[in-house]
Amino acid sequence: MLNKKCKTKCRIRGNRKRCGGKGGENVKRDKYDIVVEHILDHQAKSYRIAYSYVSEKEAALDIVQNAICRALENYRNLRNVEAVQSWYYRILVNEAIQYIRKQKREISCEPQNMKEEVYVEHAYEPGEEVYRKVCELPEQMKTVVMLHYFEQMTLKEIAEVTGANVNTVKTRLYTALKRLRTMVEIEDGKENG
Amino acid sequence: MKKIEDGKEFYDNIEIPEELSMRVKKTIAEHPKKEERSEKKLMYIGRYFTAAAAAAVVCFTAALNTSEVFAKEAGELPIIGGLARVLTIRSYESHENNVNLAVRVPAVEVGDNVQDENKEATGEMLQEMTVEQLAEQKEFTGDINAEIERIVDEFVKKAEQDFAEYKEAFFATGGTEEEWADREMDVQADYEVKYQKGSVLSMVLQLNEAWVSAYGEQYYYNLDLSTNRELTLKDVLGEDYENIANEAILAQMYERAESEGYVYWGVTDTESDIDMGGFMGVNEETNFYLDENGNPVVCFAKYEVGPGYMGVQEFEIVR
Repeated sequence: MLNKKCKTKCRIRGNRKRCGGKGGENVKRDKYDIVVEHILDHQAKSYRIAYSYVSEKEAALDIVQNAICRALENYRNLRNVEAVQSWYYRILVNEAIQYIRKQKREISCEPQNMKEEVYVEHAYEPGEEVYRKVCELPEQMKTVVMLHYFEQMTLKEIAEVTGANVNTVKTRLYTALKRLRTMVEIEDGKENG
Repeated sequence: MKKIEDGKEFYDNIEIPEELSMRVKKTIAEHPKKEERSEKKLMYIGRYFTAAAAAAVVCFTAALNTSEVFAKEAGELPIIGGLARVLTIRSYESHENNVNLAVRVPAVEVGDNVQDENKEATGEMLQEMTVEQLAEQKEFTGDINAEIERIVDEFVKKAEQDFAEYKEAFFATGGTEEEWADREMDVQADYEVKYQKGSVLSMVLQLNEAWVSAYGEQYYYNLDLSTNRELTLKDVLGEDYENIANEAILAQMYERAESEGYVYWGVTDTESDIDMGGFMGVNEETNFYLDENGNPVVCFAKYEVGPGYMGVQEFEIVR
């Protein structure tokens, strides 16, 4: 862990030295614009992803906002501008997961604030039922299923977003599908990613 | 027959709230390209200071946390007891154009006056100094003082500029004069003397701006006036400082993860490897101050080792 992180440090130092050079600045300016453009173009997508983690409007908006902050504070860490999509989703997914974890902690500290869960029998349409079940999956599986089936990303792209390798992503996807099948008897439409 | 793809239809129809676009634009407007400013600063500090610049951070939920440092009435420690003393050379408050400024600029003073006062108070002369030694000391502290003043002035100027840009973006994205009226920005600059004994002085300069978002910077100064240089962790903990500090920090991280539920990237949270910082071990540029016991307290800026809601993370290394 320590070794890998040190690389980050060196990269920062490298930038520091270069900062007088005009060429470097142009690249950076582009980077900022690219990131901003990506954020603007994908705001609806970002919101849907965030919403799928928290199922609540305000929380989803907060997550998107935090992710934008994070991205624009750190856009210089984006090494390859072509990877802006997976880079930004990675930030977004992380913010969403951090948000949930933080909330869980707060709830467990203050049980009196715990929202009472009201179980309502909805007349789900099939699509909604499947969606809800996906949302109920554990974070990692949910991320994979959502990005793959709803955002139609390849397993390789998902691996970039989650930082796990492709095989891990595959395993998570199949475990998730297995679990979903037992939950709603889904007929799995796709065999491979 | 249900297919997982059926869920996509529902997913695609998740309602997008109207305010999303406004919030996205606003957030972007609050984060203009600022590489020129921060890089200059990083470079300058890299050259002149062993303490690295605190990372630039922004967190929307932390506005309340930022006043904490100031609530302690920083800098009110007794000044007698060393080769140097810290004075407030400039202090002002103003409330103009919705910007509330509260600034105290410290400066380190050395020389005969300080020595005489110290002698009066403690009855002993700390150190006889030659004219050359005193000149060196004055040059060293003079550089520090000039740097502090520059950092504070730039921060205030940048904050006012940010606010003006925010105002522009606010109206450009459909805000009204009425809504604008109760928006305020707080800009604070203050310092705290953490430790002072003999020739060693430890001080933290804290800069905050708070409006829609909160932004804070900390600068750490650990001066040794007998050698006229800034102390590093190595000076304080010895040759084996890396092992000593890393071990103590990691132990405290695991402890806090357990007791507070904190998350430390790459340490207690290896699953979501997010490739931006995280604890990477201490080095000679690691930020710290000395607490009242003379123990180094290693400080990580918000977002440096964990999520922003955890704020600045401090770890005391007991010697």
